[in-house]
Amino acid sequence: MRAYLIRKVFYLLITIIMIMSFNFLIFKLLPGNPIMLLFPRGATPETIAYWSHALGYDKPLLDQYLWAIIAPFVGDFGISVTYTPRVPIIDILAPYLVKTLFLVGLGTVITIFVGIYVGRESAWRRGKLYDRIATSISVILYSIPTFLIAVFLIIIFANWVPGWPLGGATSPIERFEHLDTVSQILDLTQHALLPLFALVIESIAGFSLIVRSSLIDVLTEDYILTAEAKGLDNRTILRKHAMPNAYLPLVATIALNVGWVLGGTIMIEYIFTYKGLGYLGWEAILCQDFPLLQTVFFLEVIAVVFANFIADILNFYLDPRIKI
Amino acid sequence: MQMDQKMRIKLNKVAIRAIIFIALVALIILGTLGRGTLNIAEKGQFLGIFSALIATLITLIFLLIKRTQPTTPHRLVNLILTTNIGITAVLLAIFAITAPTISSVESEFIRNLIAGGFILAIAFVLLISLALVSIREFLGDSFIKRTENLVFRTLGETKTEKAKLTVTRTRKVWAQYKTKKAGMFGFYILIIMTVLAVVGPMIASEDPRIPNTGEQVVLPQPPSWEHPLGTDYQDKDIWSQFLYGAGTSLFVGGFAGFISVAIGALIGIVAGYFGRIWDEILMRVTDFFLVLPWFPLMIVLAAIFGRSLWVVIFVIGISSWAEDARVVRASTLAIREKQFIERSRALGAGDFHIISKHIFPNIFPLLVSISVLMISGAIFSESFLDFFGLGDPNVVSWGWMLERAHEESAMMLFYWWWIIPPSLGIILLIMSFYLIGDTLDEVMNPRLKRR
Repeated sequence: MRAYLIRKVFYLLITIIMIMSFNFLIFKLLPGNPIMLLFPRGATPETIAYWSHALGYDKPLLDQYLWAIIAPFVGDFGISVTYTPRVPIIDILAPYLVKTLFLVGLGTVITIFVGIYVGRESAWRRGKLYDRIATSISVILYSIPTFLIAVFLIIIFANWVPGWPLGGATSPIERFEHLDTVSQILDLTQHALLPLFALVIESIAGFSLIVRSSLIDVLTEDYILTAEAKGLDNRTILRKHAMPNAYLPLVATIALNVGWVLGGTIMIEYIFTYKGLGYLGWEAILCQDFPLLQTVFFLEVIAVVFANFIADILNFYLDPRIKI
Repeated sequence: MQMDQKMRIKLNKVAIRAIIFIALVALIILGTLGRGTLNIAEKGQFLGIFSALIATLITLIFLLIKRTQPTTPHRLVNLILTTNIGITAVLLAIFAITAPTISSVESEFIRNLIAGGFILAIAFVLLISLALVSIREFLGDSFIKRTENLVFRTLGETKTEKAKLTVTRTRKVWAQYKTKKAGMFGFYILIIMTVLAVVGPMIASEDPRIPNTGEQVVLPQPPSWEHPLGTDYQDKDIWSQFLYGAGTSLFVGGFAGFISVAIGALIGIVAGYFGRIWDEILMRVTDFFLVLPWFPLMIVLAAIFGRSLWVVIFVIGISSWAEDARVVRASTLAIREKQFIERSRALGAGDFHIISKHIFPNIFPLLVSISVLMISGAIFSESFLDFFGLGDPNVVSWGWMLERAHEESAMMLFYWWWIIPPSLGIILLIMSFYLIGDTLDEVMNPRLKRR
């Protein structure tokens, strides 16, 4: 138990350091002086020298590298180029982070529940009408990129549901502030509904296909036949005998799925102008704000890495074979 | 009676293929006509050919729909001849009568129209009858024997045997593949898309990369005869853009999928075959890339390396190989433990020989199916990178079309003809590769389970 945990934590640390090195190196590969990005209209040499010194760009490369690895742990992500006057990135992250966490968290939960339900039902009725319909719909939905689902939703709602909000996370701030709490919550929900729907459709489809094939593998094994021969009723077989074994590969899939959903939020936030991390990243690309882009990338990767770490730990408890 | 059944099945198949082929040629001619670079006499000829093609199409569809089809080739040819010439004549008459009202036409136009139409109609009747009677029957068994002899003489005995084995294996896979409906559906979509991509620049009525100069900004027009899928804000034809986009998607998808599988196969084989420290290091790297969310990674790489087609291809390939490496490693491990590898090593085979002659051929079916699945993912990624504004701005692609539509808020204004074609293209192409890959996996690697 302890050896396993220690090994996993060790790998986690290595992965995080690798990510940071990658993040550091890739942005060092950029041509040109990163300081110049701070001054799109040019600046005197003294100003440039001052800011190079203040941001630590004049230190030796090794020191910069070490600092790049330590800094995120003390909450220093550098300085944003776009947000004047020169705000530290950590100060502007919070509202964006909350929105993305909300989308990803709720999206993952919905994906797990609906995906398992659909996959289970169609695996149980393998080859029947329900299964065939569910599977073909899943394949079709799985083939539609998330951003196209969002585009279709916008077309439908823009033309046939007048007054439905299609962008932003709230109504315009002047109006939003005058609402009472209940209306504020309603307003937030209404704005979040479409992005969330667009986000989960594809991952539900993909996930239910995986649940189905994983469960079918289990259902064709001999011990299920034994359970049937014992005279257990169908639901008990499914719940007590088949599902626990089918869950094992799913845990890892869910963890990798977090990365997929995160990728989806980038598309969704861009299209619905839902101001989360993905939108921030897109703005950073537009303004060539590489420190900001670096931070967004770092946060998203870390989230996925941790999801996988948790999946490993969960698998340890679910799967007795690892303990040996 | 049995013969009758057999003949009919063959006829249906050939007829469907002929219809697709003729429809394409007709489209090409329509595109050429739409370009407006022809003089009046040539226009007459092309219109004549076009009407002959349409007549042949109608004849074939009529043949397909008709319940009782003629059984002997002789009666078949007769039927095709009469209906085809008849329909051609009617069409030519319609064109000849309406031509003066469309534009001021000289008699040369009509003369060319009729000549072109009838010559081609007869030529097509002969060709299609030949195809329907079936080329293989026409050439006969002796032809196949002769080809086999030729192959035997040029390659030598061992290689011929090997080639024969490959052919039988491929036939077996194909015979199994044919029975899967979903796979065949994907296969047909892929063929149609490939043909559109190849002949696209010929059928397109204009080159979407050349901007319309001097034109004022006009409202997008809904589909019309001149522009089958309407136009965008710069009065550019959407149908032409769609055709150019098909080529881009297939090109990027194919190359990126290839890069991804090549890296994955290399790393997977090395890790699986050499094991120990290699395995440990390479699998750590693979795990790292597997966990990295490919999407943000792609965006960051594309943002850094700039906007060009090759960067897009490279970025997609780089960020998606980890899964392949895992699968390849697992099956390499399984094959490495087999007895024939040990025997080969006992006979003095080196590592390179074992990998290239034994391991690679054994995992090849796996590589084929995963690379098809990878292409499906690559098309997805490419379309989104373009949509996100990170693609090559000078290359026409479906994602690029959607990006421009999104910029002009075509969704809000309900310019459906601008949005539906590229979206449908992306969805169909992704689905087709997914279905093909899934079916190939099922047929070629029956015992391997993918995690």
